[in-house]
Amino acid sequence: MEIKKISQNFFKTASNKIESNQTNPFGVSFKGNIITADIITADVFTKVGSNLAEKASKKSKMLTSAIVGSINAVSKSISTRLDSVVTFGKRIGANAADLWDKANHIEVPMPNIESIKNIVKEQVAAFNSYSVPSLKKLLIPSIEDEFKNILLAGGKYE
Amino acid sequence: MNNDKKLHNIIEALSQHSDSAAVGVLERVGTNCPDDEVRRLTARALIKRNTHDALAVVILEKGKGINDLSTNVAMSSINELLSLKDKAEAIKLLEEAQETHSDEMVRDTARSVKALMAFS
Repeated sequence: MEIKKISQNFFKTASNKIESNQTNPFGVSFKGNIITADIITADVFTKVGSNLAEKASKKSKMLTSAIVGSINAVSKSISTRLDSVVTFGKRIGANAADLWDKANHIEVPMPNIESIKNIVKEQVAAFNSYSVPSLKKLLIPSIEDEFKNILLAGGKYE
Repeated sequence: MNNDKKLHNIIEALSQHSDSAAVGVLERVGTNCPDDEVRRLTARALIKRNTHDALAVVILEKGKGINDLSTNVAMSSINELLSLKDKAEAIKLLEEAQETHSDEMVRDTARSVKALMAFS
């Protein structure tokens, strides 16, 4: 067999079978029905086109109204939320300002340095003199520590 | 000033201290000291305070005050009790010890000291 014939048989398809009485020059088939050239007229095109245009305009109107409606709803909800955020921010700001005012008016009492110095001096003087009247004015923890220290120094505290 | 004099003054100061926490210091540090002289001075200081808490240490506790194993400490404590002007609280505690204390030795000591106080 010649290679040319083989290739012709191999690439032979249904579309290649063009009947002689067909007037459709494109040979296009829709679900097996061949569309003849007589069906496709200018009138058909205008009729189909008007219906399509009408449907498209109706659909576009509906779509547009839906989009506009949804945009309105979204913008309303955004504006509501923004309002609440703004109110919240204002309230926080007011609270912060109030807190700052209060903080500025709080007076923290500082210990009197002179009184602390005097207490320390008294304690040192009492331990230096070791007299009963001065010792009995001392704080109990100080006396206890001194009591233990003296016992430890004399080897009398375990 | 030597350490003995310092100790004496500290214990004396604790006996006169206005803070009742001084009793706790005397009990914790003084009555548990291995040195007899310190225990003697401490027991005397506690009796001088003449309060319920201070007297309870030297009357009700075993091995302390009038119940001390050292005769010197015990006799010194009894002498101090006998020299108290107001003996009411001491007698009350001695009666309590005599009647309700779990240790027989403490009960006997309390009975003897109470008898001595009745005669003084």
